[in-house]
Amino acid sequence: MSPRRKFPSEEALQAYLQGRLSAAHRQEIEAAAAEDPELSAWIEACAAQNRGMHMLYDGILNEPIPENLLRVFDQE
Amino acid sequence: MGEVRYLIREHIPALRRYARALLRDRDQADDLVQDCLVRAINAADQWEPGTNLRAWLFAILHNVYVSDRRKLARRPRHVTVDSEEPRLEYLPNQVKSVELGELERAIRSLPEQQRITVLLVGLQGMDYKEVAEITGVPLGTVRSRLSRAREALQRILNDTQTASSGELHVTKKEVS
Repeated sequence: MSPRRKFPSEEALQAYLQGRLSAAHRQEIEAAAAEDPELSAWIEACAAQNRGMHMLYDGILNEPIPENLLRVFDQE
Repeated sequence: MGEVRYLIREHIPALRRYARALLRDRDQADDLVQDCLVRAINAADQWEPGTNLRAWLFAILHNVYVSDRRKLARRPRHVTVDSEEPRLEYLPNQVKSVELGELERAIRSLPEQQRITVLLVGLQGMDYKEVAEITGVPLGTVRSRLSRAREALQRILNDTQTASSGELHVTKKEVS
């Protein structure tokens, strides 16, 4: 269950998991997680979900793009 | 115009990944991407250079998906057995495949708006603002959909783990 908390916001946490935070903000979240096992478990749970989604679907990124999708670009 | 087409092409792999996660069936997913691309190219002059092209494209795909999904659901199922299998060919090892199969089932069991939201954030790496733009809802709605989706996924995955290690669970209960 996502912990009820004032900091970090859920939005900041998702950005943290996506690697979109500055080093300073990243460190703030890591410091908060080190003090709060519930927060730390929630971060790991969300990170595991993200990793799982990438493992399930990232292979598609490397598939050749089907011809019919490329042909869309040939039409005027 | 020519340059926009080039930029749109760059997004095809990500659009295909998202469509496949939404629809599972490969042909239906690529049909969805194709419809999205046709609309995007026809409306390319409406995209303002310098604004978020990815969000613009995903919004088009989202709108096509929402307007087509009843039609897609009604379409006779002529998919092959192979394309209905969980896509586990990308797995590094067997141990993980059980959990990933559970995750895929858990994602599919989510209410549609929650599934869309958690895929856009967790898989596509989008922020709340992009998801709000794509799905046409306020930020607060994105926030609550994502929280519910994350919690539901975790509940399902925890239940699965508990079920598969039931003996350990019972022992701990008796001790306490």
